[in-house]
Amino acid sequence: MSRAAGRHTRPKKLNAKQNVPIFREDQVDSLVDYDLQRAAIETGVEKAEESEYHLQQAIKAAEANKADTKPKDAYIPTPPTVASDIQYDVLYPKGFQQPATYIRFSATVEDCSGVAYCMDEEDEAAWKSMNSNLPPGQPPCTEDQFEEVMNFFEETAQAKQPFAAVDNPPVLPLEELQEQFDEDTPAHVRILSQYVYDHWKTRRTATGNRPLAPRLKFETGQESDDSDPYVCFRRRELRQIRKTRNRDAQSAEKLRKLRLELETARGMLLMVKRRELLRKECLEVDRQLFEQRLAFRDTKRKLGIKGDEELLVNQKVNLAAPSKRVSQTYLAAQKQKLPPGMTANQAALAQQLRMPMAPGPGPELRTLEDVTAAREREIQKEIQTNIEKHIRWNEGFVDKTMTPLTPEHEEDYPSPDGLFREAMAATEYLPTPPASISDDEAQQPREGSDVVMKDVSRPSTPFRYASPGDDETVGHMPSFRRRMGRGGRIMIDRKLPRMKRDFSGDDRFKFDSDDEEVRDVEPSEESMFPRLVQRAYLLGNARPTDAQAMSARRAQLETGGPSQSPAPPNPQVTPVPS
Amino acid sequence: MAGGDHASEANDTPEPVEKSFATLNQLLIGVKAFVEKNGETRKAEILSIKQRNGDLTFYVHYVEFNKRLDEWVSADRIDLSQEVEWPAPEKPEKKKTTVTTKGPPSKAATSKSITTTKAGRARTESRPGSATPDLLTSKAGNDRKRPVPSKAGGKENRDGALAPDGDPSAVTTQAGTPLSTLVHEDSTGGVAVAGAAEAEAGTPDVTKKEEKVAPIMEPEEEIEKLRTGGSMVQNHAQLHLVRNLNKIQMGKHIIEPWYFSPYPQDFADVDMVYIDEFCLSYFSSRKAFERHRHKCELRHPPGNEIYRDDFVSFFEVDGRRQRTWCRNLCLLSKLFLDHKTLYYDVDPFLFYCMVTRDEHGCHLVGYFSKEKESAEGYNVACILTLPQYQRQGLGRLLIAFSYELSKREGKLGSPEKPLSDLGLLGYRQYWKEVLIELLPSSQYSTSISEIASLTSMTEKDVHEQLEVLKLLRYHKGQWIIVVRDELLDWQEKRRAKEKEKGARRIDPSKLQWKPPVFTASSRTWNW
Repeated sequence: MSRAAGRHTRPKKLNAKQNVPIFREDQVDSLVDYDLQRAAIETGVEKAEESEYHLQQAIKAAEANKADTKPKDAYIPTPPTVASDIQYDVLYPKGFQQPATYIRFSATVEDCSGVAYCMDEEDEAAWKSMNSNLPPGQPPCTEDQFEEVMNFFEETAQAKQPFAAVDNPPVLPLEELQEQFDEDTPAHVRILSQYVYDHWKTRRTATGNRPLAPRLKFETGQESDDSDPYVCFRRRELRQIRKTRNRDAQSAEKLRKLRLELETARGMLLMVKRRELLRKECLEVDRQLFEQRLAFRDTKRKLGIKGDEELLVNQKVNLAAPSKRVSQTYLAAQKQKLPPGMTANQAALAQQLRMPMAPGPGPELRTLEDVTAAREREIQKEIQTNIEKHIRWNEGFVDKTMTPLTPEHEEDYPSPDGLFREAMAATEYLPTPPASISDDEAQQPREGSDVVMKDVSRPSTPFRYASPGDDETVGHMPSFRRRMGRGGRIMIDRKLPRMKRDFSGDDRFKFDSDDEEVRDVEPSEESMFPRLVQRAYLLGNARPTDAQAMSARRAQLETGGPSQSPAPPNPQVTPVPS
Repeated sequence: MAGGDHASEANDTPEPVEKSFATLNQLLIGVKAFVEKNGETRKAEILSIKQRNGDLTFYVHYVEFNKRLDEWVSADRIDLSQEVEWPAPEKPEKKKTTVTTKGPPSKAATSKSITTTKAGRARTESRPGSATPDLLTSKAGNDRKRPVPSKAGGKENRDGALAPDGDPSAVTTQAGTPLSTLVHEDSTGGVAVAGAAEAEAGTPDVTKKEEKVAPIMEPEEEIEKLRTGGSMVQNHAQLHLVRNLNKIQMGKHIIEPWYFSPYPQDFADVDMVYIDEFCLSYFSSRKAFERHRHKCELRHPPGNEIYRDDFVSFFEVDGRRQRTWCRNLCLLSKLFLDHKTLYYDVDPFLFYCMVTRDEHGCHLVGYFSKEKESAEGYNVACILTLPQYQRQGLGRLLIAFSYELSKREGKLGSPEKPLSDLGLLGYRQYWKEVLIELLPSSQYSTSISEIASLTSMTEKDVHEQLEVLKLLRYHKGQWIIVVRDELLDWQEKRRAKEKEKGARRIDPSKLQWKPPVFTASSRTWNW
């Protein structure tokens, strides 16, 4: 494409999303020269300044192809900056330590610069002459104090004459300023104010009663504001006020509420403070009283004086018939011995509720051991009688249950054992029952018999247990029976072969627990009896929790147990006639 | 010029600038004369004239130089062997008004002559109350306008109708009593202030007329724009004030201010203003400054540190919460930013302050401000490296950090306009680096929006910079990007230099920052 042709076809406007291939200079043949006719690019610089000589030179320099073609003045000259001979290290002391984390900071300049007023040379002169003219006895004023006083004057004047700059009122007289002292005004400001005032007044008068510190010009609402280049930082009249009214109201409401809450909190804190102060006072008085009583007692002992023992302790107050003496002690006690946090009435009441003193002179002092021993005896006696009572109740009671602690079932019940059928040979190879079913559950003879445990906390209550039936046959096969439950539920109970137990290590009962593992050894017939006796004994000793756990386990077995049992839906199990 | 001379001027406009020889005493505000600057003579416009102890000094603005080079020159630097250009004539009335406001002492007697001379200034004066102590303020608008006297844009002419009698003859009277316009400073130098006050009080009738003069950009418009956002002005009426501070002492440096800043008016009278390096408070008295330093405990910008590497830290300071500090910062930075405005308060801005650390504390080296919510998608409002730390690549760090914040916000951003000359160069340099870094590494093609999302630059900026760097070409009916060898060389060189000197970069992983969210109530109530 020739140059001429290029000029004729007007380049399409470049869309921002449009893909633009990138080439190196050597990858493009017959590169058309940059089209100078394209619109000049906006620099963003103020039009009138765009043509400035130095800027133009600098721009040319940036565009120049080679270093040698660059114009000479390719930089923009600026007024000079020189090093200052100021004592930098004095003015800006070292010691800034950078924290390890990023700084977070919200204090303002005012927070950080102490007293706002800074004395200048004129103040310094006045300050020196003032110090030399102070009356004897008055310590010299420091620069800091001088500034504090000046600052106080300035601030007070600003508060009392906020429009001093406009309406030129007379400089405030000293008396009026001094009226503004409040509790926070330090003493030296009060004292020094009279000496500093004249200087302040002179300066204020000289400046037309304007603030002494140089100030920026802010808007005054006058017409002249607009054109005055010194007026700066005008408020931006924010949006239409109407729109914000609702929000303003809400915000104001929030503020009111917040303030109320803060006031309440403050009130509470004040009360707490008062209370704690009272407490402290009370404790001190108590301590004093105690020490004086101590001294009193010692003196009495030393001199061998008898009597007045009631003064050594706080006396019960007899309101009904106050003798003169009692009422005195009462008053004293009330005054001295108010327990912290109690009103006088409460304290009095608390005193009345205390154990009555033994009458007569010299209250009997009992030792703690005596008291506890007596209480111990009391308890033992109680236990003893209870035991006797229980023995009496249990006289003639014979426990005929095969297994301990369960009542004998009635004769008219068919023996449940009769309904159990041994599994057929085919079931012999059924998987072993889960380990969670221990043997004593397996041999639980009947359902629904919840064992009511006696009070087992006492040892050795004489019971006689029925001996287990000798004729009990222990099947070597698991047996099952089927029952019809309420609503036609079919339940299958199972009876597993009795396991053999080894009693050699009786210790293990100590850790008797729910998930006792199933023994793989069958207990021998001979060992059964002693074993049951043993069990009865142990159960008698067991803690109630064990007993409860056991009963809970049984209950579980009765309801859930059957369905958990591994009994197959064996057709050979004949239904029980109901 | 603002003036709307248009009725009368229709004829005059083509008139060439009037030139003639002048004596020292004839020099007026608005006159352009040749002034010796760094060994050469340059044309400069006189913005203010002071008389101290009988000697005249002139505040001059060098044509085609940035205002920061404006300065006071003694009479012997003005080359009167060359002709001076007289300011274009203007309506007598207008001039009068301007004059009176400025130099009350001379007003009545000399009014006629004065008015003629001042013609150009009318615009600046347009604000009725302008109590600006410096005579020069009035000057502000003029110099821009002057080149295009009566023909200037429609806006200007609009007012012309209001000016009843255009009296061309006024021009001739110009030379008459030049000195009358001068403010004769008494030894204390307090004249200016007094004059201003008088102007307000004593000559209200005169000033009224001025109100009609149209500003270059409607000030109401501009102020409304400022109210709703942004911090840069383009209104000349806001600019072109004579520098009011002589020197400032800050930290270990003495710095010459570049521009006017609305520090307390008394500061114009002192030789040195002391600025606390940490809290940025300002003092005209050394004793007061020392006393303040004795008490001040601030050691770093009063905000949260959001970035820290071996070299610098960044602090985020909320204008609403730290009003005093942020105002101090703005006053300070106004000394070096021509177009920054302090018209409105600092509430809607966040200030990101870059500091270097040592055992004294964290020294502010630069900052940029950012609107909490920018309607126009600016990610920087004002940006400044303090002069004592300039030319060390710190501005690049500031710019990079501002884009890092934009990336974290997931937004594209651009600096608020107008840029200053230094700002433009700084940004172009940064953009160039970023683009050259990016382009060769992207494989075969890209799109402007892709580049924008990778760099957080706006698509417009990307497009423009591609053009500026001459990377975008229209080739065989489609746009392509050609990475020129020259730019690759440039990048090589830069990298080599960085290797040698150590590169300072912003490490995004060290930025602990979430974009702050401001609800309506937090904006209003600070909750």
